[in-house]
Amino acid sequence: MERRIPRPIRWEITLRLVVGLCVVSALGLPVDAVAQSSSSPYVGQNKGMSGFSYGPGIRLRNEQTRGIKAGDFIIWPSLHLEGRWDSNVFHEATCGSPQDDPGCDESPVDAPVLRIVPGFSVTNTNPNKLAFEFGVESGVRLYLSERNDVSEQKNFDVKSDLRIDILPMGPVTVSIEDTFRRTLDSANYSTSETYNRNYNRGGARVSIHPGGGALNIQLGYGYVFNNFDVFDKGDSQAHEFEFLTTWRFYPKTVAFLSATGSLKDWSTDDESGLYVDNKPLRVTAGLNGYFTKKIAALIKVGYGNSYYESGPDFEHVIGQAELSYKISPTVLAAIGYKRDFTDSFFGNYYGDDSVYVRANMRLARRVSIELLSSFHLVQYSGFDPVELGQAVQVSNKERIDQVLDVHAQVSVDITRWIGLTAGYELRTVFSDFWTRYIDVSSGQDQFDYGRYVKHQVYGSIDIRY
Amino acid sequence: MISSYQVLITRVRSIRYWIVALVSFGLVFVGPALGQRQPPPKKIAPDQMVLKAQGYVDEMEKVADEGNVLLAEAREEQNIQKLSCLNDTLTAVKGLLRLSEQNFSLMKSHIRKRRKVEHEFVKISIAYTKVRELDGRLRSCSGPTDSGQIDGRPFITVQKDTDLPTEDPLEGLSEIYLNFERPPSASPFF
Repeated sequence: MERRIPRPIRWEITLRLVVGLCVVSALGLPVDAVAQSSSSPYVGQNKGMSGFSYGPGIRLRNEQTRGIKAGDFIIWPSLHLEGRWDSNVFHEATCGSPQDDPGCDESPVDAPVLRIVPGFSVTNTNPNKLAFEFGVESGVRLYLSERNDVSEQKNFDVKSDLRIDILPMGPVTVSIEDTFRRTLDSANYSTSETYNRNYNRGGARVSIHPGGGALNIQLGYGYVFNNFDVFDKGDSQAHEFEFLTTWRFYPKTVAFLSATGSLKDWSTDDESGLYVDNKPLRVTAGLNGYFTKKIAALIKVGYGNSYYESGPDFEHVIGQAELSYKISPTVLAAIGYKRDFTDSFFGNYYGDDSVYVRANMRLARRVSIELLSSFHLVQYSGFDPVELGQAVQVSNKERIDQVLDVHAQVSVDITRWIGLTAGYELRTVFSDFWTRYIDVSSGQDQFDYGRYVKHQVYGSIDIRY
Repeated sequence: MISSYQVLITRVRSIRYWIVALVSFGLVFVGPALGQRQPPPKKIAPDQMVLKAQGYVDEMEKVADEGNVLLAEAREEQNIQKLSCLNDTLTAVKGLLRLSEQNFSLMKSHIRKRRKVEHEFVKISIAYTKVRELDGRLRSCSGPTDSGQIDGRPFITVQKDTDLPTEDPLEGLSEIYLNFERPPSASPFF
């Protein structure tokens, strides 16, 4: 016998679907939409300690429903088999007419990519005196292309996080942390050389939260090393310091004051002006949390200074403002603006003004949708290699790029232990910047254009226990 | 010029004010005190007083014995807080019991002198009232019992709206920023 849904409920369902589709459509608009940027598209879909396994599309694992209990520990194994198509492996521009793009000989190279990512996470079940968390994932990446420069990009990445909290419930908590990443990244032109790197940050934190824990004071230190496989000039190390104090004046709302500083030291001491040691400082204060049951906000503003030993410095206001609206307990949308600076391989730094939107939805307890898009105005510090005596000409000393990132992902849990994920990533760099390499001997100069478009489509089978 | 009549009126008014003030004072302070005064004891025979006092002393001894039992239990449990509370209270009970026993001896020796018997009886009665209060304190030192008190942990039911946010606002504030910046396209020297 056919069961009919009552008319009021049908109307409500229809209304919710229409509202949902409107939100999705709005987020899909390319220019005004957003999400966080990611320097590496692969790493970009991971989320710190939670990792790929915890990412959208996979139900959050918890002790009740997942994991293998082994004494006082729970282990969560996982395996992801992913197929991906990359439209532009080497981040190259599509050339226009010779008048518009003189000397341009770039052409995007596409390739299918296969990823196999096994991993596991482990944590202890009784974190009263000591809380232990460890997770590792290592993925093999194979480029299925007949071109040698593409197929030689094959390699493996690693993502590992360790955290030990001593007396996590006490008034003073000491945390020991280590984060390791091996990231894979192709160069900016057709070559078998890569920007693959090994990054590690090890450190400790002391958190003081007296009384009921409304007030929290945290001090931390971390030592970072960043070593490339081939690109040795980019190697660096840093000592990082952090101070954070928070006051939870409502259960879901905190005021905070944060200060971070570091001492960065490049391994190379050449005179190109590209690798200048610095001591960046950021001090911000703000509010974060829910202001009603449905509306949350993050507001922070502060001061940032890059403190380079030579060359131009970023010295300006930094901050972030984000407004989130929880449409229903499983649907959340957010819009925000962020201003910050980043140490750059081009010039000393770049300032980044970005707007972003993001939405997370969980439908029918089995389907997860994540939409993320961001638009960045990237302003590099002034840099002219000619002034440094290099045979390189740049189109303009003040480089300004506009970057659009889009990431959409749909995941379906077929059973408790297996799921499917499909996604799309876009990175578009709008830039009129080019670099001209002057070859006096041959007389044939080479041009390198800053703009490019990179599409990636992927699908994966996610197995986890 | 003030006449003698006006002086008289002024004095009368002053006296009236004093009377009103005294009456008010009496109503405010003395009245309640008088109201709290216990009614005079009924006239009972000295023999009956002795019998009643004997009952009071027996009751006090019983309280002291029960206190000793509780004290032994506390020693076995090695519950310092409970032990301290019982010790203090039991000392007071024993002191009052000893005084009452002395008073009771005097009472019996002056059985022929009604005023003295009555005097000792009042002292024993007061001690008995005090010991009954101390008996309550002894039981509260011992913690929950079966005598009408709650035993075990309280069962707390928390009711909250299902749509309250579950996210912790501190999450994310402590996250470490990992910088995987790559050389941008059109970077010279790479």
